[in-house]
Amino acid sequence: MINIDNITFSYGNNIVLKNITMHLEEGKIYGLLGENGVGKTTLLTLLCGLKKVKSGSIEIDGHIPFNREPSFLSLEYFLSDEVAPMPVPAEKFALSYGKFWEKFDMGKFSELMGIFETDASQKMNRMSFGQLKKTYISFALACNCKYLFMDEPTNGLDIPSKAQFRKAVTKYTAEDSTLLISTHQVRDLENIIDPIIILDRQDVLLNASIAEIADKLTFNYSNEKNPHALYSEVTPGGSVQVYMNTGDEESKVNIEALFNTVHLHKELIKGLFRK
Amino acid sequence: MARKDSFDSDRFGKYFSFELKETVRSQGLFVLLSGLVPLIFFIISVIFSLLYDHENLEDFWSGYFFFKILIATVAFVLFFLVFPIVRYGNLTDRREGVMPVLLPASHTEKFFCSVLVSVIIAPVVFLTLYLGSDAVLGALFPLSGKSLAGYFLEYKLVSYNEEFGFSLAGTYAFFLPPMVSFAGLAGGALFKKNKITKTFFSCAVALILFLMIVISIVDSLYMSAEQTAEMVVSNCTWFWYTVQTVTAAGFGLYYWERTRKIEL
Repeated sequence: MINIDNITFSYGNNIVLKNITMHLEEGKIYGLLGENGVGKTTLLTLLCGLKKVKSGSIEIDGHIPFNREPSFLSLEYFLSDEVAPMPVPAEKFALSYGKFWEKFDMGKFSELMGIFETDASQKMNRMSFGQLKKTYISFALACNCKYLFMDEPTNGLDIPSKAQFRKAVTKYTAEDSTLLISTHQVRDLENIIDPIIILDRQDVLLNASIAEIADKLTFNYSNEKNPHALYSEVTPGGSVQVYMNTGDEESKVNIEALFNTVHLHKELIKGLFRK
Repeated sequence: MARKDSFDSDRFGKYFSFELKETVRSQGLFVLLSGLVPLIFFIISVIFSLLYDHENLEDFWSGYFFFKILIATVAFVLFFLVFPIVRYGNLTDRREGVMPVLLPASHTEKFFCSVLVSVIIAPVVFLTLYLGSDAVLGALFPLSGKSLAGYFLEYKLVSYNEEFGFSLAGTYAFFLPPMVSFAGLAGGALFKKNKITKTFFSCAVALILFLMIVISIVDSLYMSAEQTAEMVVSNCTWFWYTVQTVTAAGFGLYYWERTRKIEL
């Protein structure tokens, strides 16, 4: 269980996160969304122990991440948006680093590299950025950590690789693992992230499961204009409108439309989802 | 913090062997080439000697030993200072520092491994290679003069005199390499960019300031030349030991704190 309690973080005078409170449950794949500069990466680095909160507290299974105790570090893996091109073959890298995570599975790493169609015998510093990213994603999933924090994992991946990523995450994530994935490219992660967290400048606008969202908002894909729509957008295949779900209507959540709706009606949405 | 979280011997062993392998993989060539500087210098000297007449060859090689000592001094200081920066300077880099900082081992284990590798193991390997290659060259080409190892062995580290008792005068430079290596570790963790240049110049400036302060203090004591010489002879070794130990400890402490609280 991840407990984030009233945390504040700033870079000099620039406050990035202020009074953020969240509780993340085990066994879920959280999608962390937000505009540029709202503090998604900062939040992830605070959670994995790379940064220290200025005030408030973060607690993960009784550990304070910044203490970087080995018993905590072996529970988590942080996949940064920037990855280092090591001058060794991917399989050698996985073998030498993987032994520090008790549940690391070399077989799983090889399988994942296969799914990503990346040669594990190739030196990492000779790989393209996409191949390198896929190597690190394979390593991260093969660590079998309880907590996996991924910062923009689909950046740099080509179209087939994004589908492979979705397959890899759904197939190879243990049931009790908690994933927190930050992204700008919501379509890449549609159907795998649930719940969704939308971060704003110094605020959490939404932290709700897909079921809760579908319960409270309706996503209508017809061309018929709804006068009560909170948000509407013409898409290449038709249109999408978002309005309050007053009649127990069932609809498929469109994350991009949700994101825009939340940003247009911040207070309304916060009030709607307040528990 | 549980004991296992602060230090665990099994995990330390695993981390230490990982560190050794990583050092060989990433800095092995650097250590090897640095250790073979005598050979490189010898080859360059041979090329230059070809410009000399056969009759004047002895003249040419008579100055070789002086340059050998000069180059060894520069190479030693640079290696001891640069190696820790090259090996552990990536800790402040966002892209390369994440893995070592978040690798499941305790800070104590990581600290002791980096100190063992950069202050003891790498310098010993480097010195063995350097002095060994120089000794082999000295044996094969007697014209190149005495070997550095032979030169150093002439100094008695500890000597005994009935009048003054034990003297450690020959060990004045014994703790210098660890001090320089600790300075390299601290510089690598302190500076974000141009680590080698900044560390080198910071150390040079600090040394000059230190000497200026010492000289001004000695000067202010209004002693005769004989008294000054006597004071230097009787106190210099111990004073220098203290400076080396305190400075090395200071750099080590800084490296410990900086890596414990590093944020990426």
